[in-house]
Amino acid sequence: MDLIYPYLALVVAASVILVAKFRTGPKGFAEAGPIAAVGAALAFGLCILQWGKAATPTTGFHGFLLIDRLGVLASALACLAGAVTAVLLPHHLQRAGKDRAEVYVLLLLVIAGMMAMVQTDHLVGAFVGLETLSVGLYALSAALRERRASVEAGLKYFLTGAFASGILVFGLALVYGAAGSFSLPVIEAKLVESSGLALAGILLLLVGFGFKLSAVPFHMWAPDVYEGAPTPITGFMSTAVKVVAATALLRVLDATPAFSGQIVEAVGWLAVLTVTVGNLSALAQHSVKRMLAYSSIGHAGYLFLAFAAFLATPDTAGFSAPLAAVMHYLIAYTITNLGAFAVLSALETADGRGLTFADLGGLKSRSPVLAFTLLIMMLSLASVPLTAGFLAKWNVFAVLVERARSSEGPFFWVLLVALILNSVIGLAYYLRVISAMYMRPAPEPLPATSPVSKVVMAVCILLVIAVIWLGAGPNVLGMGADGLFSIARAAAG
Amino acid sequence: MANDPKAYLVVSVLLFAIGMAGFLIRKNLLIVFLSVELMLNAGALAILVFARLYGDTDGHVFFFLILALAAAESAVGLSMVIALYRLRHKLDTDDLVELRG
Repeated sequence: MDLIYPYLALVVAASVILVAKFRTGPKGFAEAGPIAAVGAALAFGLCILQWGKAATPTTGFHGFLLIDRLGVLASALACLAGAVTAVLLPHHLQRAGKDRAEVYVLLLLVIAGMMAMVQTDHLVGAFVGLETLSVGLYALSAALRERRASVEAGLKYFLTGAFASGILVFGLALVYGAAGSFSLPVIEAKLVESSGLALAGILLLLVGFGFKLSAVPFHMWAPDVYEGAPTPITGFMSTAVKVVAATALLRVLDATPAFSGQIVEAVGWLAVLTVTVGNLSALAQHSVKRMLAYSSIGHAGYLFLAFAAFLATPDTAGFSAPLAAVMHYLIAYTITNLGAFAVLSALETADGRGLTFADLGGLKSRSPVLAFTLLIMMLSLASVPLTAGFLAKWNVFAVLVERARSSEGPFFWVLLVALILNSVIGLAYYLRVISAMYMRPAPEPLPATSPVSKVVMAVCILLVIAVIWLGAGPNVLGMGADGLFSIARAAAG
Repeated sequence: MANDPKAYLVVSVLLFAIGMAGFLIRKNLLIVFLSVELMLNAGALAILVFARLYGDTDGHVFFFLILALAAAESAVGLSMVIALYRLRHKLDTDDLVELRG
C-alpha cells in the first residue's frame, strides 16, 4: 500500500478539483492551480521518501508495480515538472481568459500515467501508463480550444501519437510472440539468442519510442506541437515526457541484451541525425518557442548518443555508466528547460502570438529577474561550465570517449565528433537569446505583457539556484554537483 | 485450417500495412484517424493469436486494455476534430497550416 502513496496524492488532488468544479459550474475557480501544484509537490516529496527503500527493488500488484531507484528518480522528475507547470499555468490561462479547472485534473492524471509507465517492468503496465499520459497530453495541447494554433497542435500530436501507439502495439505483439510473456525479466531470460521475429518487434518499439522522444526522422510533429500548445504545457511535454520515455526505453533495451549488437548502429545513426537536424534547424528560427522546440530535439539526440554507448557496453549485472549518464542528463535538462519555458510563459502576450528574438530586446532593464533566469538557462542548455547542463553533457562525452577507446572501428569517434560539433552549433543560437536580452534595445512599441505573480518569480529563482547548485555547488543533504553524480549512479546501479 | 495461427498473423500484418498506408496517403482527417485504429487493432489481433498459441491469459487481458485505450483515444481525437471543424469548416490534413517555419 505504501508503494502507491505518490499516486494517491495525485489522484486525490485531481478528484478534489473535479468535485469542486462540479460545485462551481463551467467557470473555472482560482484554487484549482494551487491545489494541483500542492498535489504534484506532495507526490514529488513522497517519491523522494521512497528513494531510500527503493535501493532493494520491491514489486507489488501482481508484478505490475516495481519500485526501484530508476523508476523513483524518473517519477520524481515527472512530479517536479508537473508541480512547476501547475504554478505557471494559471497565469498563462487567465491571460487568455480561459482558466479551466479540467486542465489541472488532466495534468495530475498525466503525471500518474508517467509514474505508472516507469515504475513497472511489465510491458502491459508500461504501455497503459504511456497511453494515459499521451491521451491526457493530446487534450492538454488543445486546451485553448478557441485558438487555431492550439487545436492544430492537439490534432497533430494526436495523429502522430496514435500512429506511434499503433506501431508500439505491433512491436509489443511481435516481442510477445517471440518470448511468450510481457514481463521484462521473463523476456530477458527467454530471448537469449536473436530471432527475426523479436528483432522486428524491438525495431518497431524503437520507432514508437523514437516518435515519443522526437528523434529524427520521427520528429516532424514536435516543432508544430511545441509551438502551438500552451507554453507551460510545452515545457512539461519537452521535459517530463522525455524523462519517462527515455527511462522506459532503457528498461526495454536493458532486458534485450541479445539484440544490442544488432541495433547499436541504428541507434547511433539515429542519434547523429537527431542532434544535427535539431541543432541546425534551431539556428534558422525566428520564434523563440520554436527554437526551443528544435533545441529539445537536439537534446533528445544527446540522449540517444548515450543510448548507443549503453547498447555497446557489455552487459554486466549492476552498474552501467551510460545509464547513469542518461539519468544525469535528464535531471539537468528537466530543470533547465522548465526554467526556460517558465520565462517564456511569463513574457508572452495575451494574443498568444509567439515571442520573437526582437521581443526579448532590452529585457535586462524591463525585468532583470526573468532576463537573468533565461540567461542561466540558456548557458546551461549550451552546457557552459558551472551549470548543471555542463556536467550532464560532460558525462555523456566521457562515456562516449570510454566506448570509442575500447571498441574497434571509428563508429564511436564519429558519434563523439557529432556531439562536439553540435555543441558548438548550439552555442550559436543560445547566445543569440542572450545577446537579444542584454545588448539589443527594447522593441517599439513594448509588447503588452501582464504582470507576473510572485510565485512564478520565486519558481524562476529556485530553478536558477538549482541549475547553479547542481552544476557547481557543494554537497548539502546529498545534493550538489557531486551529489548529482552519486544519485545518477545509484539509479543506474 | 481454423487453428492455423499463421493465417491470422498474415491477416494482422495485412491490416497493419493497410492502416499504415492509409495514414500516410489519405488526406481526410477522419480517414487518417480510421487508419490509425486499424493499426491498433492489427496489433491487438496479433497479440490474441500469440496468446492462444501460448495459452497465456496476459495477452487476452492486454487485448481488452487496447480496446479501452482505442475508445479513449477516439473520444479525445474526435472532440478535437469537432473543435477544428468549428474553427475552419474543413477536415483536410492539408489545411493544418497554422504552424510552420
